[in-house]
Amino acid sequence: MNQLAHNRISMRRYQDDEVVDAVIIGTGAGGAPLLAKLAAAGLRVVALEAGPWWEAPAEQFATDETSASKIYWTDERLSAGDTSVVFGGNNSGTGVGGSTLHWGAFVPRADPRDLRIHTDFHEGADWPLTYADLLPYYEEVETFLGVSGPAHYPWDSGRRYPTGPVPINAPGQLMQRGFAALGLRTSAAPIAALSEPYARPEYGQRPACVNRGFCHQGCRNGAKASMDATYLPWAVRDGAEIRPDSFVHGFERGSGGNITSVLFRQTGTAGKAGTERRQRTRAVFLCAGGIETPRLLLHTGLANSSGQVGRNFMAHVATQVWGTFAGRVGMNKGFPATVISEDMLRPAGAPFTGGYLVQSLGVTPVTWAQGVARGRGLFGEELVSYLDRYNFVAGIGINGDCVPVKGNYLELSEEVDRNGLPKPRVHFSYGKSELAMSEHAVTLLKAAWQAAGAEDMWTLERTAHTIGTCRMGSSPEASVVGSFGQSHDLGNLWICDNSVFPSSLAANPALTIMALSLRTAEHFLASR
Amino acid sequence: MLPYTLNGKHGPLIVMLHWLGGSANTWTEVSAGLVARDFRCAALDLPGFGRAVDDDRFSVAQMSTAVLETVRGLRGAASKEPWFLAGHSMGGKLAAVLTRAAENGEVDLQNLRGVFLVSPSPPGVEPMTESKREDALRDLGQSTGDAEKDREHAKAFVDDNVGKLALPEAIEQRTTADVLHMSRAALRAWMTGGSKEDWAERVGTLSTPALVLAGTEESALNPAAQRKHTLAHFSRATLVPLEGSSHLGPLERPWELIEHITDFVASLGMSWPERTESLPATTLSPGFLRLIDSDCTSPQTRSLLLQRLTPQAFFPAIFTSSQRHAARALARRVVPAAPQDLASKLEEQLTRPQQDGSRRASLPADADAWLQGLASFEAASKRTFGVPFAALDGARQDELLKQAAAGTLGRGLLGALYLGAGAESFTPEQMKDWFEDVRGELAKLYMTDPRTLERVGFTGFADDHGFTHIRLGELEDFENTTAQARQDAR
Repeated sequence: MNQLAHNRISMRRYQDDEVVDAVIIGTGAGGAPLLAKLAAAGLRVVALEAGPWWEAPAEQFATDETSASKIYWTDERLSAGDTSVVFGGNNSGTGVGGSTLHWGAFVPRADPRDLRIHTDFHEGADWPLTYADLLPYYEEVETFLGVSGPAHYPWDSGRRYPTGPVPINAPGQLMQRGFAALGLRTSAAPIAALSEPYARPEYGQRPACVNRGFCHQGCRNGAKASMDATYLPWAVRDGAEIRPDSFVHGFERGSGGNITSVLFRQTGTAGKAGTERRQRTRAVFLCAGGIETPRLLLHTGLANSSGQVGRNFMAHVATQVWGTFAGRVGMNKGFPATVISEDMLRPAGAPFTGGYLVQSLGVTPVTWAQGVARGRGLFGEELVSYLDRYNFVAGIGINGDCVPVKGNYLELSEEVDRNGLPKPRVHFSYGKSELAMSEHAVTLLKAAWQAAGAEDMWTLERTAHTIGTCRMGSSPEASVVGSFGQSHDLGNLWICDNSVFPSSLAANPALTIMALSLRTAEHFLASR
Repeated sequence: MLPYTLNGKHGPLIVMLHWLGGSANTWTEVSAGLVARDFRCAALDLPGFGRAVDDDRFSVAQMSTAVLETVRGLRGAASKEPWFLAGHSMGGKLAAVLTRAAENGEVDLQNLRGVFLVSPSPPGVEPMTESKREDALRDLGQSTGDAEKDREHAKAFVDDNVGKLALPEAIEQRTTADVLHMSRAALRAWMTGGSKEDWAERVGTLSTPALVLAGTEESALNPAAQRKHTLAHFSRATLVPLEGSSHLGPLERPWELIEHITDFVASLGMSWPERTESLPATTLSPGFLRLIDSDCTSPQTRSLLLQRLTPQAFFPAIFTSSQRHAARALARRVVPAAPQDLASKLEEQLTRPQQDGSRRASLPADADAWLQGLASFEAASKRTFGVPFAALDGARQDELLKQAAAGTLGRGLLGALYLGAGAESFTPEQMKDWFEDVRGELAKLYMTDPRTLERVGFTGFADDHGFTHIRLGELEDFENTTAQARQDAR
């Protein structure tokens, strides 16, 4: 049992007909910090989590990719458009802790310029807030999680990480080698996993990472700062209730239009049928992620006077280059991505909007084999003999900005899933900018990999993260929520997850989602 | 004893009897496939053929006696081990005669569990036109004295017995050489004697389970003729038409024969190989197994790995038998080195309510996509080669797979006009998307198997103490040990 499971024993419980102060839907990076902050402020809060509660990660998470599907969101999503987005394990999790359970925990901050992308490039949208608005929350999250990182971050001289970097592994060394040869800077990456034991009064002691490398299959010892190891034990200790296996499918509203209760189905366990329940509440925080949040709003018809719910879907350009090296690499050991470069955030003369981060890649065998078979297009003896090279390959990849456009959106399909809701269908196609960015990256990454000694290189085109769909902005006509996440339509509905991002940023989203979550919590508490 | 070729070390024995003009070679491909599925195969050279070219025991009774002696030699006198008999064409008539002997209690033939007959010559007089007999006697009954002409006649004899799909060149040459090599007296004896001998009453009705396969392109011994002439003698027979095949089933359609024989034996309730506790140990090296058993591997991880080594009962639920054959053929081409039947794994997976959570909007639900995708390969195969996908040799299957990957296979402009089986096919774009899913799923199933992990040299599951040697070229202590053990094993 982890600390959260211990705290669960004495967890406070609320009655369904008791009007609580807030219901938080989802316990990932958006919901968990809010839940903790509200509970710590003495509010009566209930979190509804669609997935199960893993109380003993050390026993429940095997070092096995197939069995990890239990922490992936596997209700089917339909992928349309020219650039097919792969859902499931690639970008969506489930369980108490949400997607942070299978999260890569790569936590760069947003670059200040990425928040005003429209001003600089006349494409996409500016954020209704600045880097200065986010900075205190970034620092609070990093300190709370014990983010590990370098003493001097090359692209931000003022930044300090609470613990030193996790050890750089073989793919990280190769990226250092390749980038140095090209005259580009690298750094140990900021990672939300501990390089040394770390203690916080809110959640107690967490041990250091032991370099298993199976972070996407669930951390066993709590070194990774997934929400079940950090914000959630604090939330439960301070009076929050978490209800697992609770899928929200509707709302009830009062005469004034505000939400008065949340309708959810608690799924049955061990052959028992599920039960329909209703939690009365004063406020609702929808933190279900870039797909489930707009899906629920479209299904219920709420908060969409702007017509923007589901619009502006974005996914990071996440192209990878792979190569084979003469010596043994063993890319499965160590954190999946240990080295970063932010040198490509605004490459001179580049024909695209924004820029991209570069990271070293170690990928576990089954995921890698799928990428090879799908992306490299191999089959037969060619496939089998290339897979035999596993211990000698390493990857390098990017996470790049994506321009929101009209043709990229989420809608409800005609097919209904086991929850009784229509399956979401996501339309996504790269535009000129994304195509140019991927091409630019492939040239650079291949040069770096060649300099590092790679042979037999190939490119895996892929996307990462689900972003946009409930854009934040100052205009109620053009956005779904304001800069603090409050719905323009409903006074007591707030959204906090990657759906509110007006632009995708080059940075991986989780750290920014957590910062927004703290900011929303503070604003909500101050305005009560 | 007759000369024979024995392959395989484990599993039930299949004794194989060739056609007029063949030899033990006739069964080369079928044997290889069945050995891979844990059968032992003994392919005989009948009197006048192959290595028995100087043997002149040509009558049905003489040949049957020679086979019986050989079976005794192979199995041991009065053996009670279960076994099977396979007969192709002329060999089929002998198989029926021997089955009668087995049912009559011949002690050396006991525990015959089933017979596999491919285009068998029936127990009664073979329904063959006199002109055909005369042609054969004229062209092959004696040498023309001209080696080139003899070769032409032999090649024509082979080609005339092949259906819509030409034999791969190497097989055609080998088969032609077999025909050239046979004793011409043996051919004359069969044409004028053996095939005309009427054993119908002596064979009577047999109760041994029989699988009868016959090519649809054959004139005299097609499925309808077999129903009339052969099935009349077997009360428990299954007749399977081989679409587009003619008389040379074992050579034209080895993969289908293997599938049908495997399915047939399974349908008899036989399970093989014997399932024993020691199976995992026999499929992983001791060093690798020790690593899984060690305290480096967490208990839950160990249990998952070992579970994957244990054969699971398979309950087919999605595919029909011919779809399953096509799925297996497809899986074999995508991942040829798989240590297990990936198609069955996949079929089992398709029955689960939750898939991987992601689907291209252009494709139907996963199970339906598989049915439609397989139907598309089937239609393309029939259109291009005139036979089902599973009937093709690997090179031809790969041709279709490459087209699917390139987005050029499926119901296109021409396909829309094709109102046969092709009407249900995917569009080329859908086919490309689906085939990408197929590759991904099969690669995943392959890589999940511990035998693959060992082959690849992956030991990252042994992480319960964490890792400390994570830089280039570094190995954990246990990795050094395992790598050493791998070297030693080689």
